[in-house]
Amino acid sequence: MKINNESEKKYLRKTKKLLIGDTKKKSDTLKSYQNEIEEYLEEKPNATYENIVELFGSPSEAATEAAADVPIEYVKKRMDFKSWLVCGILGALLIWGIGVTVAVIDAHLARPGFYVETLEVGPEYEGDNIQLSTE
Amino acid sequence: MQVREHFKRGVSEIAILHLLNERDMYGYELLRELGKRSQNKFVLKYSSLYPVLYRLIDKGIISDTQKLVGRRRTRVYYHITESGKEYFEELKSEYYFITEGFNYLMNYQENDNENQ
Repeated sequence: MKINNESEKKYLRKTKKLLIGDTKKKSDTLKSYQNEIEEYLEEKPNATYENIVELFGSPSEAATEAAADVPIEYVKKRMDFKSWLVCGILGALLIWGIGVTVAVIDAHLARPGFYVETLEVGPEYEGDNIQLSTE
Repeated sequence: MQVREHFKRGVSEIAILHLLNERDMYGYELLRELGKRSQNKFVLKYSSLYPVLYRLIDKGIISDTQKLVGRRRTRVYYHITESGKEYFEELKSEYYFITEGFNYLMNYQENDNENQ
């Protein structure tokens, strides 16, 4: 359903962001709020966002109250998923960091003139007194 | 006031069922009636009303019916079921039992007890 009132739209948008639970429960909750806010706006068409909050509770209150009925198994599952997600992201960052460090060290070592492992003297210089200078 | 909210939460089921026992009502109407009939002393926010309604529906104490109002708006009416009426009567007796006991508690005096 199209929402015409800006205050209502703002209220529902903020509440939607805070709701937890499965998609159906979230959509039922929002629909219920929308229906009743529209009843209220029918009676008070000039109601502001603050008026809506006063009668319907803040979006945070709405989400908190609605969350009370969310089964604890769902909350735990969601928290477990979040923990795994955080661990996964941290692990990926760590691997990426190690990879970058190794690549930088490797590139540094491979720079010409930085590191000389062996020095071969050509036949034309054989017998010459060659002295290596570090400068 | 936090304490007031706790008290209201405790009795909101009875208050809602009391209204629905009279006639079917929709959410906003319930809020309005609660305020009006209590002389604005028992004002609930919809955020507190909604979970109670949701729970009562879940338990089969009330049911909800959608009705089309005007061209596009849907109104959800709440209706107390037969088992809900029984539950309401039990809830009321429990409430009166507890408040009676609480009144005794608050007005208790040593002399009263000795005279009995």
